[in-house]
Amino acid sequence: MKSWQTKSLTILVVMAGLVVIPFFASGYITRFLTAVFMYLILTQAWNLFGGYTGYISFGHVAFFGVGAYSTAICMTKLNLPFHIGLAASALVPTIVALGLSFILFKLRGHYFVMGSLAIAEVFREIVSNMTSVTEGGMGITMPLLPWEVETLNKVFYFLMLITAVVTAITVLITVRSRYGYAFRAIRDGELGASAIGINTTLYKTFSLCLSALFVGITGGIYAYWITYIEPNNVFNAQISILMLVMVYLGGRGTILGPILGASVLELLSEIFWVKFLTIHTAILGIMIVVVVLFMPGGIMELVTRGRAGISWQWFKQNLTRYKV
Amino acid sequence: MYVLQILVNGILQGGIYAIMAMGFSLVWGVMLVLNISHGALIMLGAYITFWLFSLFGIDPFFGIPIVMAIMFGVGAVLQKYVINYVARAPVFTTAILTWGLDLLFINLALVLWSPNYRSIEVGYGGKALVLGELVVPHVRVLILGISLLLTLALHLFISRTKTGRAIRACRMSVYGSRIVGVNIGKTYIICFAIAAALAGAAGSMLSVVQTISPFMGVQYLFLCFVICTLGGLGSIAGTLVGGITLGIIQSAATAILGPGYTLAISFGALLLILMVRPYGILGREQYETGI
Repeated sequence: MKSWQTKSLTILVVMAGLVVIPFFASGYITRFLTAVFMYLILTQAWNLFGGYTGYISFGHVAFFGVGAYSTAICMTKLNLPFHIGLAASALVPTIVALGLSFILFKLRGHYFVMGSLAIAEVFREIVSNMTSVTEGGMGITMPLLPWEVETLNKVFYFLMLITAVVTAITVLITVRSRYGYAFRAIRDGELGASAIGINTTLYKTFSLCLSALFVGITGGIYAYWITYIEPNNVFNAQISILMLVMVYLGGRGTILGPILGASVLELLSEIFWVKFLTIHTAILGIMIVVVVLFMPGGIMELVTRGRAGISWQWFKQNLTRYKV
Repeated sequence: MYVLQILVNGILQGGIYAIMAMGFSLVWGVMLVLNISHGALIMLGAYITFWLFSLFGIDPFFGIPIVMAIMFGVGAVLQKYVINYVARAPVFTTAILTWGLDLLFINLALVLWSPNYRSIEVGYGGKALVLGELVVPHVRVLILGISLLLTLALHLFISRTKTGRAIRACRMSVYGSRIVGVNIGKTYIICFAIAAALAGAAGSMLSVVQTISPFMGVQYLFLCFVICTLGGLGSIAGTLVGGITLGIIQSAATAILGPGYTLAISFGALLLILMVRPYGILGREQYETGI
């Protein structure tokens, strides 16, 4: 069989399996897979902006929170149904990203990294303080769906799965198009890119808005799934760093990388959460340090190098590549 | 009078901010490493002070040299065995590495010392100098004084000693300093160790004026960044000026808008300085990073 035939067949089999699983597996596994899909969307969306334009954003969780709060406010304060809430959670973060891009793209390099980190914190602060609209620190409780737990599990499973598939397809199409070419040009040399006529600001804004759209939708679904949101858990820097670490762990600059990274990290996280609750953040920290020092290319690099390419020598090379 | 009180509050707050940012400025300016674990180092300094105070009764201000010595060791070990391996890597790599360290430190503090809030009660804590309507707390004046002293000490170290000259050389050109024989690895170790010691001193002084918890350092990271940018990278006096400026800005903002928007105002200050004078108030052109 040709390689595209093998690839399509694998994808088809995997998708069929994913569609069938919630009808046979327990609620725990369904919810776990829903969380995995959520991180799949987040990492793909982050990779679209951070991995392909080279602007490393530490504050993407800002759009997640804005999306979550848009849905929450639509459903509680304005009493609109869920599909409008979901549309709001797609639209509002995109508009916010459009507005933010005027400020954020004045920053470059180191300043952009810290600036994006600060944006998430600023949003958290503002949302906490606008108690008349967002209930501030008390959080918003969403209206519950009148269905059973099992049906709910399946509903959110498929919601997240469909969004994940849509995100993956969008990222794939965007990356292989003119836009993807512009993004990679910006990543590899912004000055050169604008010298050959690419309107860097336009493409960066486009990338950020598209990224914010998907992150926002995820936030909206998350709000309805978890039924309670507050500034500290939807504007949590932990979600930002998880997005980054998953992309890094899976392999930067690849399409399959974030998917691998999200799955592996969620799986490990679930295992460690159960056994080592008190130190699981420390384990995440150590894992970050080890991955950055010893395998900066991520799991995809291990996969592409194959068995012959991995050796102590290679790890040592990675360690000392940037040594002073 | 009210305006004067805002000014005084701002300057006194700026004292703490300056010493917090000094360590961050040193690491960022010399090694071009965004040390996201700086907040965690401040927190460690505060905890060491707390334990010195509760177990041995050592006054926080007298404990500063001890805390600085311990944090010097911690910083040296960190740099030698972890950060030196990524010192030439792009900013993304080092930032995510230091974020991992930050997570590690905060979680260790949570596990070892529980998330309960601690505080240090010193006898002279509540006393203040009252001049008419102006209230000037003793402790904060002492903190400002120690900040100025440490800034002076750092300036003398960087400008007069051989290691200080090595640090400045690394800042100007890594290849050039390697050619003239500076051991970059060792210089970076000393640089980061000094930065950690300064962070420890900042933590010590913070422990007197606020409650101690594992998450106390997180909020100061972005403020340190803004202060370094305001004041100008590569300049020690710049960090001092930046700290006091931010203190005054925050004090005024709190008085006008209330305490909820300090972070947004600081971000606004960052944007303003980057648009108007990107190398900072006391910085020199070409010394800013990444632009």
